[in-house]
Amino acid sequence: MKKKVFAALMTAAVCMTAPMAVMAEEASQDLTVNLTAEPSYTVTIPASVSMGNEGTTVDVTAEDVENLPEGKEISVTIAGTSGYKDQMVLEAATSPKTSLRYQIISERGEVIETNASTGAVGVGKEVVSFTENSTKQYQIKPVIAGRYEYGVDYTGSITFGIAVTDAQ
Amino acid sequence: MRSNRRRVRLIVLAAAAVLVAGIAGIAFLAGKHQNAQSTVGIIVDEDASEWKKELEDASGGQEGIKIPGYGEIMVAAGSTIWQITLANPEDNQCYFKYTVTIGEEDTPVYESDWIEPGKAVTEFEVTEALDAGDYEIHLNISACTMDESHTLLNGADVKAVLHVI
Repeated sequence: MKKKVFAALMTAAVCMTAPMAVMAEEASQDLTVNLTAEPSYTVTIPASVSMGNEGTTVDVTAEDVENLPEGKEISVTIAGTSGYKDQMVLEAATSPKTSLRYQIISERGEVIETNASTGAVGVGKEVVSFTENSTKQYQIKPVIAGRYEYGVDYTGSITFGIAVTDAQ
Repeated sequence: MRSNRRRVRLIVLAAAAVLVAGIAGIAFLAGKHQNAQSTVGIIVDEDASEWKKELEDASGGQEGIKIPGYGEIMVAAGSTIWQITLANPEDNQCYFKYTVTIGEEDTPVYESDWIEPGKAVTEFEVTEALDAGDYEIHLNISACTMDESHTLLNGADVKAVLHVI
């Protein structure tokens, strides 16, 4: 009987010390964290420059906005266009080649257009801005002037600048 | 006597018809002139109704392109392997291509291939390691349609602060 009690106590002692050994081993392990920079917001821009001759209203949406510091905003600007020297023009495959200027009226009502004679540029001009998840709008309309043709597609693209900046 | 009255009546009716036609003609021309002036001095072609149709949407009818944005990004000084997620959200109906530049430099430190919607590059090798400090990073995103034409769509230049530590 005494032998049985001793054996049971020894077994219990071994069982208790085994986890301690494992714990001691775990405590000595190095921690490795591999972080990847993840996006902190998403902005939905129009896929293409598309409008009728009366122009159109375009939605721009910000979502998944996380940890935007106070006093900061997500600013959407014009960073460039497919036109020569970033001119805001759409071009058609007519013969001879014709183009059609367009202008953007920003969320704040500023008329953004390019004009070689006046030196007006569009690059850097803010179109909309966000401080939280929301949808903002701007207008885009063609400038009916110069040489153009009916019944053909005038196409072009815009590169939007997107950045966290100081709120205006 | 009776035939004289009939002749006078016919003359009066003819004169009235000429007068009405004249007034209508003048009103029509005036209206046309006013319309021409209202479109910045350009005489609008009668076929303008065709122009009023929406231009063909090169995006294939999709509403927009989702662009991932970044506030601040951190990478290790002296390392050419950067862990930054360059994603093309799964809702998009286009390919993405990332071109990464630093500051005002035009030469990219990294250029991805075209990325399908719902996929991302999470680690890539840049052409040169940077010293510790703060930089301006530009993630230039080109987008194109997924059909055979691969037409270029609107793109984005996502600017963020790059902390090299």
